[in-house]
Amino acid sequence: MKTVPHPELTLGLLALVTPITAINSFYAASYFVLYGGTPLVTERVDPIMAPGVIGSNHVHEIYGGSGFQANWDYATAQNSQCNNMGPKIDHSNYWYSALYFHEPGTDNYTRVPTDFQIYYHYDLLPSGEARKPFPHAFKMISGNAMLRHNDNLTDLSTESIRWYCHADKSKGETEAVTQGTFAPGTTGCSGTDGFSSEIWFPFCHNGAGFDISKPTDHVIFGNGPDGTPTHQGGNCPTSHPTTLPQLFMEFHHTVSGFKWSADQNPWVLAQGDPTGYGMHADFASDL
Amino acid sequence: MACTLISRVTFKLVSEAAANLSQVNGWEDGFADQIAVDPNDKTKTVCNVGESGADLSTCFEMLPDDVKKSCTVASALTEDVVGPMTALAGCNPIQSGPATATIVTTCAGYKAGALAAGSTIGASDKAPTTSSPALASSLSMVMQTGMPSNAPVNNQTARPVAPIATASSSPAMPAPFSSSPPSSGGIPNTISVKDFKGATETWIYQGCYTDLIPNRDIRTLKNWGQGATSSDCANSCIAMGQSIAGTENGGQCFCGNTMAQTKKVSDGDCNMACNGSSQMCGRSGRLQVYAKEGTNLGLKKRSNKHRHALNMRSDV
Repeated sequence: MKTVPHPELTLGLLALVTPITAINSFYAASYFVLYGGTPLVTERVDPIMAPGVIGSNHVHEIYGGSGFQANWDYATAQNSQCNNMGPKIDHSNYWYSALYFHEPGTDNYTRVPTDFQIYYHYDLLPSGEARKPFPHAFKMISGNAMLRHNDNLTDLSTESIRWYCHADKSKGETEAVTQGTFAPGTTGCSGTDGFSSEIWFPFCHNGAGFDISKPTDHVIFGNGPDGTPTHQGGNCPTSHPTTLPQLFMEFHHTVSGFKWSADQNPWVLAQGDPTGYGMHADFASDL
Repeated sequence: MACTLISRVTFKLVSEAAANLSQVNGWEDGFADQIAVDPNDKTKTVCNVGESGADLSTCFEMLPDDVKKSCTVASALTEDVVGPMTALAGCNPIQSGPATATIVTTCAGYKAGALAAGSTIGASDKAPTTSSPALASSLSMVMQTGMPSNAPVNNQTARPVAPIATASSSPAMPAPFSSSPPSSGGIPNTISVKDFKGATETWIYQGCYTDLIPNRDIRTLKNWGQGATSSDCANSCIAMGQSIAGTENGGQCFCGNTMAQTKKVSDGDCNMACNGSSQMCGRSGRLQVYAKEGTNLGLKKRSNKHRHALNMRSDV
């Protein structure tokens, strides 16, 4: 069998620097948080990057409306019987690459139980206007499953991702937080919020729909105070002028059942990524 | 009499025209109906959950907590995803980088994913001007493994979905195949099924519809379910998170959340008895459809004064 080039791409180089006079005050903000708990289903299905396929490349943990299926579309999701995020009207689906513990010295992989929160930031623009809603069936991804290094020089995947180990220092644990890759040098993450990860989504839309051959072209990050792209907040460039809500996903991984030492980094994402740089997540809107 | 249209086909490989909707007048539906996105909008509640820590129920009508927590979907595959296991599911050897990883397909025993029944890769709302090269090669890889695109995907088992949170006090998932009491036969007007919470629901007969119209590769209800009668079929559809069930050809079961590409025909067309029952289960090319009351089948209705322009073959 020939190798199929994976359609996931890096986030493209972002738009030109544009002079700005004001930046939307991100922290003055309006947002709400939906809490997902345990997933709707955990399976190798990816309606965005492998539509219609039963058995996509790697395992995802999936949240949201029960209408989720490989052939995801707006109408199907609207007829969801329930959703596991809470608001009745939210039939959207959210998914990300599952995290596994690779027991050191063995061939054993065990899924790390994870729960999920999503923040919808809908703060006003500097002009005072409200953000625009997600178009029906809007699809986007953040991050790059195939990335295995820090891409800060070329892209915003790494900058939009954090891995945390919140330590209980009374147990001699080491706190660690890293951009893009698994936090090293830890032995246990028993502090409040424990072992967690997070990722920001782009939100500047050019009006186009999702195109699987160019999956990150239609929505990009905003520009910060210095006019260069930033992972959090910012103003949308003229190439992508529609400001959508900015999504922020946060994951809490229950690692209390696992044992590892400071020189080991036993975490692996479902696509075979032992670095954490390949963290990525998907959103398919069905409000 | 309703005149059905071919409803939206699932897949879009090219830019979606629909993406341009809903941008004109601000928030048109969804959570903007329920909260004031603009703080100066006095007609709606300002949702201050983020800042004030107020409960989400002050912003949105929320599902009951037990419904939310027990909301799960049966996996479309039967592989282990929890472990401990000796390799990650799929073909995902460890690639540590720093070079960008590649897709590998040469793992022992690995079979590429198959298209779900009813998948319409290649179709679009409008004729695609280009097809995605990545998707086309994915499709050709699927074809090379000998899995035709419209073959039933055998690993779509409609297993009962167990709640993961064992601490939940909500009832366990219903047994999927509990039939309703035998009726006098024919086409029951209503069937009794169990929902996620184990409560009994009544699903209502929606009519006899064609399947595989007009394109023989596209099923009206996309997912294969299980069950010998309409009740069994509906129970397995609920377990898959689907709200529409259709039996066909005396014992096939299909599930979906919307119906595509079909037309309603005379009830008399659904006249093949289910295996071992006096009830009917559709016929060859005919779906006997049930859905929960109020479900939107996804069929567009037109005035019966018009016949729409699409070709409607009646000879299937």
